[in-house]
Amino acid sequence: MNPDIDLRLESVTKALTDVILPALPQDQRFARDQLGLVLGHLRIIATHWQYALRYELACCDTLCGLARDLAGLIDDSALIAALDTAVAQTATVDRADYAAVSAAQRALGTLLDRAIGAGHASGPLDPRLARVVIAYARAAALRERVWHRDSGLDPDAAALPSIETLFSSGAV
Amino acid sequence: MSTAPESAVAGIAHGDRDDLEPRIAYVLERKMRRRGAGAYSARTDAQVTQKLENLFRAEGLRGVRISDLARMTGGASKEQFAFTLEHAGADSPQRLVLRMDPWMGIVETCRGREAQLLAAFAGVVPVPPLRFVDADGVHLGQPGLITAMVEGHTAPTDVEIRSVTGVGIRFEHWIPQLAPQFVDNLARIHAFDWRAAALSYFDAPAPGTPQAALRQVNWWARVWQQDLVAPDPLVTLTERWLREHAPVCVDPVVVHGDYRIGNFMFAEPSGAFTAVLDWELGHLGDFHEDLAWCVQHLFTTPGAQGERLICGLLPRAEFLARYAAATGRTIDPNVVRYYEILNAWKCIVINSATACCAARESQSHQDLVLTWLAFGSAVFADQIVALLREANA
Repeated sequence: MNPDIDLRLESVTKALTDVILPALPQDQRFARDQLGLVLGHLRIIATHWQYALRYELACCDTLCGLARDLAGLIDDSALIAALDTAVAQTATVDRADYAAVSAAQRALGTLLDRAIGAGHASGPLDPRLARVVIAYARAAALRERVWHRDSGLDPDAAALPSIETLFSSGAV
Repeated sequence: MSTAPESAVAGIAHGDRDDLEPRIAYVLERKMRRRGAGAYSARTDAQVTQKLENLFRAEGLRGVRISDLARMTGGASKEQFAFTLEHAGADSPQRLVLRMDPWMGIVETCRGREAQLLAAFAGVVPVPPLRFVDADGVHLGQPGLITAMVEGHTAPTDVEIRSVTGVGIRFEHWIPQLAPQFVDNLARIHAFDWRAAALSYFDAPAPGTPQAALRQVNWWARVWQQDLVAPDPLVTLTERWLREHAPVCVDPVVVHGDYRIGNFMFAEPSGAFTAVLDWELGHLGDFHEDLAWCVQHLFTTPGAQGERLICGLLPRAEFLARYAAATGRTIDPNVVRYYEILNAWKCIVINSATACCAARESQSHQDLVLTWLAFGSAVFADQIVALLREANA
């Protein structure tokens, strides 16, 4: 691909920084703030785009793992069957297609909501179910914090590895 | 922590998801009625001036002249404009601030409730003086309120800072002046006699029941349901946990709802508070809820020795001790933890659902800010995981 995506993002950033920003009057604070956010988003997108599919696959795979774990903990046979079907369908998704992977993940997430919320009206939360979801969420939160590390919104960002390290270490 | 079995509290059902304050239910329904109306764009100066003229005409003002209209930045939910108002009944021009709803912001709240709190707390804590309110947008086109302009800063002008909606502000040498006022104003808010105030848009939870907590769960569960972009197993699990562990609130108080770094202003060089801002999430509930909001990890900043400072001002233990001393209240650490979980869950609802939904549906003037704030959800998820593990240990 020539020009490649990185080069095009760099060119957009340069034009916005060197030409557009100086042309905005100082008293146009809303426009200047918005431009600052545009530049921030571009900076993060420049890293994200290269890992986006791998990230989405990692999210999808761990969600499948949670579905399998939960299927062993709930009593609703129809829901268990639906979870099994959804996991099987996810396994057949084109893993090179970002949109398809995202859609499979959302479909599975909707079923998981039912599984986690199931029985709420009739009984207390099963501690085994809670442990499984919390273990999943712990790993998911770390992965997502790394993904958004450069947003400036994580008080402990300095202690997090980079996205490159996360993927190269095989932690996801 | 005292949690009441469902059967022990007549009329308060942990699973009754429809028990919301009537005005909250109304504004959430109103939001859904607007959805699908097309894309929202930032209002132009001419549009805002015309709407203001509509309002002032309806208020009976004559000889109205609006000048020096300027959009204000900051915030992620309301469109805000400074302007100067002159009219036949005023001796001199007034510099005012309009705070108006876009079709959708990061939170859907009620300008009428916000106005009632501003009016009620005038003279109790520093607040922007309320001038006009159009709670249902009859004249402004969208709900809005107008206050006097308050002088002051949300961040020191002599400390270099990069922050989004107040997160990341550092106070450094201003801390000795600001920290006592931060605690004192919170104590005053919670000591306020709301039963004697004109708060018709509010409906108090029943004392001695878990309704205060459950209504918050119901409010934000409703928002999650309305604005859902992508399911999240942790959000669903946490909602169940919150319903099952809702603590009893013995004595409801006015909860500010967003009392934190970035939501107060102070004068330089005195350091005196000039305003407590952003009352839009205010409601009647448990004082622990505000404490738990203040101590959220996202609102902490590192101190000189690397310790985390609550809202950039005090270490956690000192903050809670000072509050207890100022109020005489007994703080239950388990209830603080419950509300820390509730608040973090609520922040995920706001950031992952509402912010992304508003941007996806193009319902706000601040889509870029909204999608940026969504980056913070994982910090809250991480907090919930740690707190649930601690609570379940």
